Amino acid sequence: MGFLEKINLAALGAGILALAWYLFSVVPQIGSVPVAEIAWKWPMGLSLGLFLVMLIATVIPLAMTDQTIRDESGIIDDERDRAIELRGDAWSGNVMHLLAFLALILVFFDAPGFWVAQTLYVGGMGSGLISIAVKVADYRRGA
Amino acid sequence: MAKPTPITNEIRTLRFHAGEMTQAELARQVGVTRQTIIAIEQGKYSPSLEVAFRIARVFKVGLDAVFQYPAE
Repeated sequence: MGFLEKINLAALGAGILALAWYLFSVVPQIGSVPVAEIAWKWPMGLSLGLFLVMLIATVIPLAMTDQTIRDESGIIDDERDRAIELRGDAWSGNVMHLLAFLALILVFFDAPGFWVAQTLYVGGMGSGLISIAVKVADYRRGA
Repeated sequence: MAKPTPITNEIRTLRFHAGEMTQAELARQVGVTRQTIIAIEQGKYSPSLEVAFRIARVFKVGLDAVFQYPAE
C-alpha cells in the first residue's frame, strides 16, 4: 500500500469518526427540544477540530515513519494518482453542488438556520467522505 | 469508478527478457510509481500515451510490441 493510499484511509477513518460523533451529539436532540434550542454549534466546531487533530495525529507519524513515502522507484506520485484524485473530487463536487442547491432552497423557504447549517456541514463532510471512499476504492482496484 | 481496460500488454515478458528487470526499476526509468507499473501490468490502468511511449522506449521496442488493443 502506497503512502497516498494510507493518507486517504486515515482521512476516511478520521472523517467517519468525526461525523459519527457529531450526529451522535445532535440527532438525539431533534424532536425533543425546539429547533432553535438545539445545541449544534459547539459540536460542529468540536467535530471539525476532532477531524483535524485525528488527521494530523495520523499523517505526521505516517510521514515520518512510512518507508513507502517514496516507493522503490523513488517517486511520490504520478499520473495515476492524479487521475484517482480527480475522479474522487468529481464525485465530491457533484454531491456538494446538489446539497448547496438544497441549502439554497431551504433559505428560499425561510427554513431555520439549523437545517441550512446541517445540510451544508453534513453534506460537506459526507461529500468529502464519498470523495475519499472513491479514491480508496480506486487504489484498491488498481485503477 | 474506472472501467477495466481492454488493452493488454507484454510488460511482464519484456521485463523478463530485459534481465528480469524489477517493477521498481522500470517505474524509476519511466518516471511513475511501482504501484502504477503493477496496475498497468495487471490491465487495471491504461497509461497515458506519453507513459506508454516511455515504457516502449525503456525496452527499445515499438508501442505495439508492448500494448495490444483487441479488434472488435
